[in-house]
Amino acid sequence: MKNPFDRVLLLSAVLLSSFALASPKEDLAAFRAFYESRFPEIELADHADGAYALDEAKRAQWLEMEDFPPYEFAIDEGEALFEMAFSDGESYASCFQSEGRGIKHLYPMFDEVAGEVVTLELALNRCREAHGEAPLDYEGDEIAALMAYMAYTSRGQTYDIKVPEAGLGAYEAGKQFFYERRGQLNFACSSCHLQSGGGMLRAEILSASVGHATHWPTYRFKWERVGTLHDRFIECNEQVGAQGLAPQSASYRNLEYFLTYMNNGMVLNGPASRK
Amino acid sequence: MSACLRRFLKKVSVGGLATAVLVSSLTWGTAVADDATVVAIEGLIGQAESLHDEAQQKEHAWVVTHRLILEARAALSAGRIDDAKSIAARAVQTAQASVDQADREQAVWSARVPQ
Repeated sequence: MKNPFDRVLLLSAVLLSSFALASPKEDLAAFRAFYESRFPEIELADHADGAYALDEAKRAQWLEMEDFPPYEFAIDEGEALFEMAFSDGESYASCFQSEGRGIKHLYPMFDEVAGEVVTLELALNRCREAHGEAPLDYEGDEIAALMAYMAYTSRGQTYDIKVPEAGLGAYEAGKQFFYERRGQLNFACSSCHLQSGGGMLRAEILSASVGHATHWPTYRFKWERVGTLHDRFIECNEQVGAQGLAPQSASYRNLEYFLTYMNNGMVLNGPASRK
Repeated sequence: MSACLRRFLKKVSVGGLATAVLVSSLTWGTAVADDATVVAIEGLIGQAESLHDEAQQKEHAWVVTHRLILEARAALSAGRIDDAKSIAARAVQTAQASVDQADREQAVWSARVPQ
């Protein structure tokens, strides 16, 4: 390669590909450093409260609401569903370690045998199917209630999502989804929550992506119900004019895997409420 | 018949004949154009659907394209040919833009990752 311009091009391509293929640990360090630099006055852990970490007045209102949280009914309903016996006499507890209590922070996980990301919602439906029950609708109230109960029993647990060698492809796919622009408005997840995090979108403050996966499921006042993280993915995609994908599609599970890995070291605080 | 009345009737018959010729020529022209135009519009809608499918496979489909395809079909069914044609053309444009976005993002997304 005699042409120096060609050498520069090749070097640039190698550098760019090495950036894109940074290890998950390097990604996490850079991600955290970005938000620490952008919001030097806010503790990283406080981003688990989303936009309420960024605005004192909104935080005060939200804390008042937490005295009588709107997701409380979902926790009770979820507990009843969780304890209900399947037709074969077993229950959800038989499918999970610690009988399914205090385990939400372990999900999503990479299943090396199946070669795919398993979210807690997916594991719940696989549990049902293994015991002869029909799977629940991923956009329905029952799965959201079950998730609310399981999150509630896991409050205070610290995320430490693992990415084994076999899971790197899924992690990278989720990362790419996060940074890819979509829809007629040409926005990526990162456009709003990284590049413009802390800015305003009309009257709303754009939350930081660090902490985005800690508090699900969430009661959103605009939904008037408790919904899952994938409900929010679909809504986000549609807000920028992109067609949402199916909940629990491989791409959304990979995105959840990446986002949750980016929460490593943070504390699970779901279920929660948001505007 | 008075001369005045004859002049009036002549004007009316000439005007009527001219109007009839104009209307029939326009109708004839539209009817002929319709067949070709309908085929062209269906082709545009088919092109938009094909591109939209490609964008869906790449997980980059846009909401607006789906809506425009439905609107173009509805306008065609209702005989609103000009609307159908312009809406179908817009559907092709948005579908193409979504495919272009998918291809472009494959190459540039990594530049947004914090280092």
